[in-house]
Amino acid sequence: MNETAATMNVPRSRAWSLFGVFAFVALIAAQAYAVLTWWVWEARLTSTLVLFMIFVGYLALRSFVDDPQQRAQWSAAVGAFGAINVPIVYMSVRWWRTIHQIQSSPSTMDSAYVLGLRTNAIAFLLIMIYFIRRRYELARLRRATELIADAAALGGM
Amino acid sequence: MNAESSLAIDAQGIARRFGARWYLRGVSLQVRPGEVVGLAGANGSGKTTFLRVLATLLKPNAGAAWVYGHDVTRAADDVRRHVGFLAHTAGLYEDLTALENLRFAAEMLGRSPDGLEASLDRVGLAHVAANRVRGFSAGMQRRLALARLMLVRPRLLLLDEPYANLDAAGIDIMNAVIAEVRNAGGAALLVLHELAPAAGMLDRVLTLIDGRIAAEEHGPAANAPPAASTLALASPAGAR
Amino acid sequence: MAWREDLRRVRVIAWKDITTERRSKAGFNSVVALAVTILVLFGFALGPEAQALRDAAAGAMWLAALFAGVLAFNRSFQVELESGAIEPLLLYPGSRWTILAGKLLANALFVGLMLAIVVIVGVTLFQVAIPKAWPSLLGLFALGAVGLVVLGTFYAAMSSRTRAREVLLPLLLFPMLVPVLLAAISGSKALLTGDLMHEAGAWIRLLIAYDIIFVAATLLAFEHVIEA
Repeated sequence: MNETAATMNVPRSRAWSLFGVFAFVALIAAQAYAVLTWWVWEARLTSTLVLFMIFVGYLALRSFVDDPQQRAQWSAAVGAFGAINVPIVYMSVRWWRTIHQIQSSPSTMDSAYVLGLRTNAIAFLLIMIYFIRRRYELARLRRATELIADAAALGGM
Repeated sequence: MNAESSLAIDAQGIARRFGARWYLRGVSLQVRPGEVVGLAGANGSGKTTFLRVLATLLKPNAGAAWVYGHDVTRAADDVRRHVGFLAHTAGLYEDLTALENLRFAAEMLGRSPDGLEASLDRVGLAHVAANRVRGFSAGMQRRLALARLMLVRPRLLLLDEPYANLDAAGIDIMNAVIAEVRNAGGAALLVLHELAPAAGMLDRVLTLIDGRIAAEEHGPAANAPPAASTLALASPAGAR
Repeated sequence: MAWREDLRRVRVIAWKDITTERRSKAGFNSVVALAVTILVLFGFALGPEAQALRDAAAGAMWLAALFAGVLAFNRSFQVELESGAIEPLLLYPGSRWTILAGKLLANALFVGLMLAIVVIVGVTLFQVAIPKAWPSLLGLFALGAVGLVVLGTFYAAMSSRTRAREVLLPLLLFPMLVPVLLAAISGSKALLTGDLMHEAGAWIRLLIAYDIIFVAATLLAFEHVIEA
């Protein structure tokens, strides 16, 4: 079949979408650490918000494209560009902030919280890796089913 | 099949879908140099889709095709150098003049901009060379698209309903171009809705039903208006 | 001589885009008019106090250019889709990236002109003094414009072929342009208030890096995105 290249892209973009879900969850969870205000233009928080917006744009694109091959190609490009932009977004937001405020990092936080913060961060990372792998496998299986259905539809060639 | 083959078109099992619907379910056909072949079929039978696959505008989901030995998916640029494709829509830039549209095509093809006025004259558009395409009728746009197509100096013509919107003079010009390509050793595949304007031009007519080649007629029978037998084929119960 | 062929294609496509846009009457003039209108609305939203306007000038100018710019980007592919001209365009043998490069040049010209007008109007409306460092300001604006045009044109190649092109392009583009906006607005603000040349230098370096990265990325990715 001529679709092996596109086949790889579909599960990958599904995995990316899961990453985005985690970004959003991380955003909500980050609120738990904000003591005084509902939203503050802190570098990491703001960058995560921008990343989330990039992800929303990615989802919107996928929802408006019907042809699976085109959708896979376009998602791959948009996803890759979003990924390239991650460090640039973070750096630019951080520079924007350092003019006015020092950002909160483990060194500026109370040491009692540091251990909790680090443990949670690692736990979150492990859970995310697990879910992304499961999602990837699921998408591969779905794609394989689709290809079998295609072969059946063409049957008798 | 890598070397220059003797076949103008060699298609094997071409299949193509859009979403859940399969428009081509395994089309195989061959066209030899010097042949003019018609492709007929009802609306939605996949004729245009097949032509676009051969023209390298679409990739097939299954199967393979070669134009003069060049694979349409792997050697697309080589195919494009030999093919003149005429679509439903003329694909012209409406705010440019007829001559500017041709000049753009010539420059994109790496051809010299001389002789463009002569090309326009050949299709009967010399008098509107400096007019913007926006005011052109559908027939005039078709003729301009034909002139642009000839800049490629094609060895294979892939024409989608070439006679649509053309008056008698336009039909004569179209047939003259097809004859010229054929006499120079090239070939042509015409997607047709009705066979009358192509009278005398066609060597063969293939009928596409539901994404597969269902019938083939040769010689003088190919140039007759749709016969009762072809109509019978178009109904679900029909079979040869 | 593949290079010369490619450069010729780029030049020819840029000429074609510039000519069709100039003759269309609808295009460039309305985009500029929209940008100026947005600028005026920002004036109402942020003023009338002079200091507030001066502080917000850089931001207002860049946002006006951005909002009007998305129209221009969609239009550059609209011309191919209207009469189905994209198909013959794809059938000319040759490198695909030249199509994007030609359109980038044409859009850079239009956005550059629009930005120039926006700056002239903005400096007047928002009562900004022209600083000594205006060559750096010019450079900053040029780099920012390139950043806008590169991703704007690339994403428009996709969004213009979907059902929801008006909303999809901003949705895709605006978050991706955050670094450009931050750099251009903060850098402009710094240069306009005449202090901290050090800050502007960092922003200019960021813009250069961004521009190089995304010009390369879009030219490489374009052929996969333009085929149906």
